[in-house]
Amino acid sequence: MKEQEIFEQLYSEYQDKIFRLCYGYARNPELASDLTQDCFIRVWENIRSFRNESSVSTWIYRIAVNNCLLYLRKNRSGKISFEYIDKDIPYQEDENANKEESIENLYRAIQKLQETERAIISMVLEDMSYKEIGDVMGISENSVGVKVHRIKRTLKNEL
Amino acid sequence: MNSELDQYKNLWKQKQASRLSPANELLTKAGTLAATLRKKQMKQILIFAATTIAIIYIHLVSSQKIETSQAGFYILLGCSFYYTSTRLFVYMQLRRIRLTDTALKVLQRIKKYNRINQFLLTEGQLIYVIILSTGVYLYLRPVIGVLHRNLSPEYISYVKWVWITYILWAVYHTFYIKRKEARQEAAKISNIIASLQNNTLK
Repeated sequence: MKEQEIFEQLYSEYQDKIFRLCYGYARNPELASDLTQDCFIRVWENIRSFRNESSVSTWIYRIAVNNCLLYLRKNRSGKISFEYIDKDIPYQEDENANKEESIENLYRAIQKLQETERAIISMVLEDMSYKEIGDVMGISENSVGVKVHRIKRTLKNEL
Repeated sequence: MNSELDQYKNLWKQKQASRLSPANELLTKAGTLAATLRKKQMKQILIFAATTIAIIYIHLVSSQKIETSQAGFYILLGCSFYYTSTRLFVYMQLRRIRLTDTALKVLQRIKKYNRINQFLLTEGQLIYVIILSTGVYLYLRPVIGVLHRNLSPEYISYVKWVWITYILWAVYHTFYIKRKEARQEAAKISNIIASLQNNTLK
């Protein structure tokens, strides 16, 4: 398969997952889209260096998490614009509006976590194993377990 | 707690990507970015070459008309070389940060890169400006000497004050403003690394 075809396949398979990770960092749809696209540009730049030493998802998530962390470094204050918060929830008195609000509340709670915790919980919510998350973050499976336990407790308090 | 996690997963996955460009547009953008980067590197090398040629040319022309300092000439050439080589060195350090490495490794590399970059942008920059100014002064000493004789003492005193103010501002900017920014950024990266390595349950 050609590199371009592989890239297109990865893009269609992972764009939603990576967008959610980026949205968990930014909570701003435009910024999350920019971060997602930037991540896939890095994927394309590095596609020749992929050697099957890790799974594709681990490899893509490493690029995405590092890209978000680098973004936070560039954005010196570490604070992300809150202008979209509450604005992107259309007011509708129905079940959809409640669901939309619950989704936004979850993302809002995740955005309050520490930088690395945001990445970890994003991967947990995408059903990645602790081993894979450890491979992305560079920590042991046990450490991931401890952190996930802590994050769940924080989220429970927040939501 | 697991049922809550399932609930979170259900909510989480309902968010769909929006406003993303198609894959072929991204590939075009990637090509444009790579070309821009290559142009930037080429520009850096060309600026160095042009500066070196200009310094040598000016030296060859002016050394026949006025008495110039050989030391000043070599200092200026050295500064030009130092400027280009440090830019390239910083760029090479940045290239060593590979996004395909683990987050912990990338953060540790960023920390190291920041240390080098911040030294070059603060103390390194100040030393560079002082050496460059010395080079310019030595090189143009005969011209400055002539100017000195022809200008009024008030004007010379005015120039001196401007120069002193500039040096004071450069020292303040380097050792206070830049250092403060550098410390904040270093603390931020250290905190992220510490939070990643911290395994204790609160």
